[in-house]
Amino acid sequence: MGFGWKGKILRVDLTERRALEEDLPEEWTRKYIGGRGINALILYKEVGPGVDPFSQGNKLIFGTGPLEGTPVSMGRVSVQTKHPRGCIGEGGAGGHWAAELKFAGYDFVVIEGRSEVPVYLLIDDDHVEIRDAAHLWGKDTREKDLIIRDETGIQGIQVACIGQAGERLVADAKVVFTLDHTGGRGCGTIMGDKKLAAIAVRGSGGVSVKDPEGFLRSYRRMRKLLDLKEATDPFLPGFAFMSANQLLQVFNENGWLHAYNAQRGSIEDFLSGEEYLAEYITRPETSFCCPLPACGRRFEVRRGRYAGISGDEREVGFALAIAIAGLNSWPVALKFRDLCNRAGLDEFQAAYTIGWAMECYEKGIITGKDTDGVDLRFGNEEAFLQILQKMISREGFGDVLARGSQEAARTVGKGAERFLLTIKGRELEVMPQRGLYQAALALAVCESGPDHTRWYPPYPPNPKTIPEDLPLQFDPVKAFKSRSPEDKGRLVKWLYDSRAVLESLPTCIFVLRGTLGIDLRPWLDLYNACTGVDCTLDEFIRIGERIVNLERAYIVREGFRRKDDTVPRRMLEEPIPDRYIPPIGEDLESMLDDYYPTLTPLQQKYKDFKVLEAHHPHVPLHPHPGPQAPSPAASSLRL
Amino acid sequence: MQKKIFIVANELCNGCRNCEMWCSFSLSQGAEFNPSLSKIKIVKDPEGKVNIPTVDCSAKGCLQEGREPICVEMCPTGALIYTDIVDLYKKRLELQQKRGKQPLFRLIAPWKYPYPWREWSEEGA
Repeated sequence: MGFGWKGKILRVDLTERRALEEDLPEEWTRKYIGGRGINALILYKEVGPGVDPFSQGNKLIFGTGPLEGTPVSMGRVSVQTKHPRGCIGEGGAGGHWAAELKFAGYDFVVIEGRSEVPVYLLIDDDHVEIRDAAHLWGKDTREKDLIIRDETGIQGIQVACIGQAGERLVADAKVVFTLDHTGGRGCGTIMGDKKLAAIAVRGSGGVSVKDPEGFLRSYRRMRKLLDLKEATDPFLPGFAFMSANQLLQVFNENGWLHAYNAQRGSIEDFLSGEEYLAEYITRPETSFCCPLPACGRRFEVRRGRYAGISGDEREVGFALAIAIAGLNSWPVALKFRDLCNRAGLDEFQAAYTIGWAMECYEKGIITGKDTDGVDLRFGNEEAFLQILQKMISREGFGDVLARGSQEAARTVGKGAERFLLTIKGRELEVMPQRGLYQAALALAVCESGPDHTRWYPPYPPNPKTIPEDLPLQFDPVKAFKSRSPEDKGRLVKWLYDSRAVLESLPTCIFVLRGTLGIDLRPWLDLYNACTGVDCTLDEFIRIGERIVNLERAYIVREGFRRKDDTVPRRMLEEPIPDRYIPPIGEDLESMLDDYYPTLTPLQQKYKDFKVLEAHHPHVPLHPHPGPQAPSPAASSLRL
Repeated sequence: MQKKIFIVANELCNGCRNCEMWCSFSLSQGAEFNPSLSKIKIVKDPEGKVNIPTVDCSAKGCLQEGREPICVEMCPTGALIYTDIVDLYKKRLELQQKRGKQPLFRLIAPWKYPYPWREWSEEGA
C-alpha cells in the first residue's frame, strides 16, 4: 500500500479490554476505497441480521480513507453502526479528529464488545490505552473534551465523545467531535450502550503522496473551481461567507419549511440571515483544510435571556428545524443548538419529535396531564426548551419522547401516528419533500433513514458549469425540475453513487458545488495522484454503485422492503396550504418505479462478496452469524 | 525595495491548517503531508475562541521559491500575507475603499472577504 492508506485497522475489544492491530486487505481498498465504503463492508460482514443493536455483537466503526490527512479530505470521518431501528446508522463529521487518526497511523477504528464500566480510549500514535472514565460519565461534551485535554496533557489532541443523551441511550444521539463538529445519528446511542465515553486521538505521522506534482496540479484546479470570484453556483458564496443566509429565505419563500409539524410551509418573520450575521457570528472556524473561508462559524449570544451562549455551527439545519415548533427567533435557535451539542443529541430528531408532540397537544391527543404540565403549544419557546431538557434527562414525558417519535406514538396511541414525520422509523430532516421531488425520492430510498448528506446538493447545477464532454445519464434540466416526477430515478441513482464514492475518499459533500458536484474527474485525478492507483472514471462510479448496493443489501437482509421506501403520510396526502403546493400523491410510486430498475440485480452483487470471503484475513473476536446467503425474500424483491 | 516578511492577521484565521499541511508538503519535496515537519503551526485554543498561526520561516527552500510561498497561496481567508510593509498598507487602503462602495461589505465582518489581491491559476500564484 504505502501511499494514501496506512493499511491498518485498530480493533478495540471493550469486553476483553484489549486492542488489536490488523492489516487492511488490499482487495477491500480496490473495491470500496475506504471511509463509508469499507465501513459498510465491515458492518455487512460482521454485524449479521440476528444481532441486537444493543448487544455485544454490534460494532461501531470510525472510518477514514486514502485521502484523509491530505488537504482534500477536509477532515471527514464516517461513523457507522447498526442503528437501534435496524437500518444503517451512518453519519459523516468534519473537524480535525479523523486527520489526527490518520497521522496516528490508522485508517479505521472498530469498537467491539461492551464495557461494564465507563471507559475512554486514548490513541497517541501507536500507544493505545483504554482508560477509566467514571469521572467523565454524566458530563457534557465540552466538559469531557476539556477534562481529557487536561489529564492527558497532549497538545493538539482531538476528542470524539458523547454527551448525556448518548449515555442515557436517547434514540439518535450523535457523536460530538472537538469544537462541535457532530455526526453519526444513532451512533452516539450505541457508543453510550458500549459505555465508551470518548475516543481521544493524536498522531505525529504523515500521509505519503505518490505523484506530488500531479496532486498539486489537480488540487489547484479544484481550488480554482471553488474560486468565489468566478462562482457560478448560486449557493457557494452563501456557504462560504454568509452562513446560508439565502437558504433561510429560499426555504421560507418557497414554502419549503416544515413549519408547525409540516402543516404549513412558511412562518411570518422567519429567521433572517442578515440578523444572524450582524448580531451573532463572531468569526470563522472551519474543518481541517476546508477550502471555503468561512464554511464553519462561531456564534455568540451577547445579550438577552440567553446571553453567554457560544458555539460553532456549519449548517443552518438547526435553524430550519425549529420551524417545526413554530419558532422564529435566533436566540432560541442558538440555545437549541447549544443544548443539543452539549448533550450530544441529534437536532433533527429532537426538534421533529417535539414538533410531533406539539401537534398532538394542540389536537387534544395528549394533555397537560401527560406532559407534566408543560404547555406544548406551537410557538411556545419556553415549553420547547423545557421538554428538550426533559428529553435529555429522560424525566417524565421526556422519557417517552426520548425513545423517538415512532415509539412515542405507539405509547400514546389514539391515532397519534397520523402526525408522524418519520421514514424507516427515523425522524425527517429539513429537506423539503412536497416542494422538491428529487428530495422526496432521495429521502424515501435512503438506506440510513432520511439523510440529506448522501445525495447533496438538491438544486440544479448552472448549465454553464457542466463540461461539454461529460457523459451524463440524465437530463440536468429535466431531472432537477422541482415538481415533476420525470427523470428522477436516474438522477437520484447518480447522486447516491457519486456521493458514496466521494465520501469514501473521503471528501466533504458540502464543497460539491458547480462543476465539482457534477463532474467527478477532478476528484478522480486527486485520488489517482495520491494513491498511485490507476482508476478510470467508469470504475470510479462503479465503486460508488457497489457501496450503495452493499448498503441496500444490508438493509434488505435486516428486513426492510419497498414498502419502507416511502415518505410520511402528510407529504403524500396533505397540501401546503399557504403556498398552494399539492401533495406528492401518486407521483412517489412512479418515481420509485423509475428508480428501482436503475439498480443492478441483487444476485450479481452477492457474487462480488464471494470473492471477498476468501480474502478475509481476520478471525472475528466475537462469533457472529457470518455473511448470510440471500434470503428468498431478498432475491425476489423488486430492485 | 523593502524586505518581504510574513504577516499574520490572526483575526482572519479560521484554523483550517491548510498552511501547515502544504508547508510540510513543500519541505518534504512533495513526499508527504505531515504536520510535524511544518514550519507553521496553528495554535488552537481548546475552547475555540482564537487561532494563532505561528510562522518560523523565511520562505527559503520553499517549493515556490521566487514566487508567493505555498502557505500563502493555499490560505483560504488571506490570514497569511507575504509582503513588505508599504505594500501591505497600500493594499489594505484599496480594500477599504472598495468595501466602502458596497453596502454588503459594511454588514459583513472584515474577515468575510479575503484580501483580494490573489488570483487562482493552475500554475500557482
